[in-house]
Amino acid sequence: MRNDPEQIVIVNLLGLKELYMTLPLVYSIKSESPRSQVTLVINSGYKNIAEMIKGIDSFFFFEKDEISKRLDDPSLNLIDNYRFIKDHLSTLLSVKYDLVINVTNKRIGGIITSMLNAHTVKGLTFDEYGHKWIDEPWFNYLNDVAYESEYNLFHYMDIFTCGAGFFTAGQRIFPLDISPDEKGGSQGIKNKSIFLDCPSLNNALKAGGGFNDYNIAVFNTPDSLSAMLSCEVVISSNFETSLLASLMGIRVIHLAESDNRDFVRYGPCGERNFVLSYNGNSPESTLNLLKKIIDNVSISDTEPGNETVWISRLDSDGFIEYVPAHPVSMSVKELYRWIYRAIWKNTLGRRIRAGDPRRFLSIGEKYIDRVVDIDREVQYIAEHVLAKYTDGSVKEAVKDAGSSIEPMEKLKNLAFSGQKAARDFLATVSIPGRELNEIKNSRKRIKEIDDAIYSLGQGYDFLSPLVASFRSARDDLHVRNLFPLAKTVIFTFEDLFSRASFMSEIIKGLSKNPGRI
Amino acid sequence: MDKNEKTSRNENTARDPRKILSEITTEIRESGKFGKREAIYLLLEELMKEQLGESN
Repeated sequence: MRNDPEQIVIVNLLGLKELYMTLPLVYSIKSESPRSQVTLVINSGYKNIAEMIKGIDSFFFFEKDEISKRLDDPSLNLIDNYRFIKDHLSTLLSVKYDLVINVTNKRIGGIITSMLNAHTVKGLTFDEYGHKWIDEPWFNYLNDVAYESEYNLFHYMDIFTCGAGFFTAGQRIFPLDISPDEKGGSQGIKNKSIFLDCPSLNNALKAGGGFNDYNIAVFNTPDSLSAMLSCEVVISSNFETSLLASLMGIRVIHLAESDNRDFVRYGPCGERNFVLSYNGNSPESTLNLLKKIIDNVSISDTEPGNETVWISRLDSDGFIEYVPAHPVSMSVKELYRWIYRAIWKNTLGRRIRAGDPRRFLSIGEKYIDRVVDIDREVQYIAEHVLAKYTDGSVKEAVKDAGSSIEPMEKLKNLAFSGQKAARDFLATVSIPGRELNEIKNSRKRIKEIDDAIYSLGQGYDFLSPLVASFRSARDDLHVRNLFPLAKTVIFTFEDLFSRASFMSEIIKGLSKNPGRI
Repeated sequence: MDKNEKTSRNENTARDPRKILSEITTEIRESGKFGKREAIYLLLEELMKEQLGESN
């Protein structure tokens, strides 16, 4: 039995938002495996912030800015910079890691991950031939789909923890060691106190705006964040501030531009936080809504003008979701967002939970046939989302979605044919002595199906996330050995078939039961 | 190409680390071998691309 603590490294070479969103993952790891040693690789620009974070055993600060400066310095040549990076990474590379989790959806994170001496890697990396490799469905989703907020309804925090295999349902709030600055602005903040990080509202609030009874601390410099601790509510248009406050358990009202859905990925986490989507044309109306939210006045019966108020909550599986706080109109696109959420959660998540990530299905078999109760998903979308939070327009949206079943069925049939063609390919390459022509013909058939799938995706906007995910998985395939290639091609068709079937079944289910909505 | 022109071209190449790096990384991609040395060159290239706003 091994006694050494487990060595885990998390590579996060993204921004401050992503650094904050990685913290729940660290705490999940530490609570599941208290003896593990967790190292967090981050950009050196966040060194000061890192010093406030408790519970991480060590940091490695990647000197990205320094390297960038050196690349611009004409007195340094390529060899100088090569040696600098080699020396800089040497301590990180000298450890043997049990697990590397790369949450960076950029090549730079994948390259560093590929250099680490690791037993298991989760997230983007490169193999010994330099080919991109992501052997984890949630991290595939992070790299291929999530950056498009159009059809993504998952918080990055959930994607990180699911991808790493440390997802635990429930509230994930933890304390950060942000000591109130004794000289700073925390003095004088008492009850009914608000921390404001939204420059466009500063003047309106100073002018009164119904907030005369409140103590308001305004964000000026990063040091003034300490004042946030003494406040009951944080109003912010800055994702970093909103995330930090919500992670510390402070109630947040995040202000987002209308039509911008980035809050789904980066918004305040935990339950009972708010996002106010506004267009900035009417500060009075915005302030009025803010005051209602702060004073816990019900806004479900009011008729907000151009604003939409969203509340964060945890869904039945423990994932963060944002639902409207008042009835909103429902577009078909919005409806598809909810459907996609159910699809991804099941085709990415359930497989992991089933502990059987890579096995062949019989042709035409769907994961959903085995592990998913479609009616449960339909019921959740219909009763817990659409019926509660949308106005009469939802029935029209469901009807419109119903008319799109035909192209979805077409996609499903192509994926079905693809599975068959890919198995023929596997059979061809498995038997020694097969003619090269046979192999070529078999691959040609797969390419024809691929092309038909791509062109279907271009024709129908609502299919694009499924096709983009399929296409990305395909683009990453390189011919190393025909046998594993054939197996991977089968998996990509199986995934597409499952997802297209799922989408079709949910829309059919919603169309059949309009009474639930 | 005369000797002077060749020397001048070599000097220009030597002065442009981006060009040298691009040649090295092209060779790496074509070689199909990817170890720590190759990774460092690709990392340098990626950081250069980020500076130029070309990276993903």
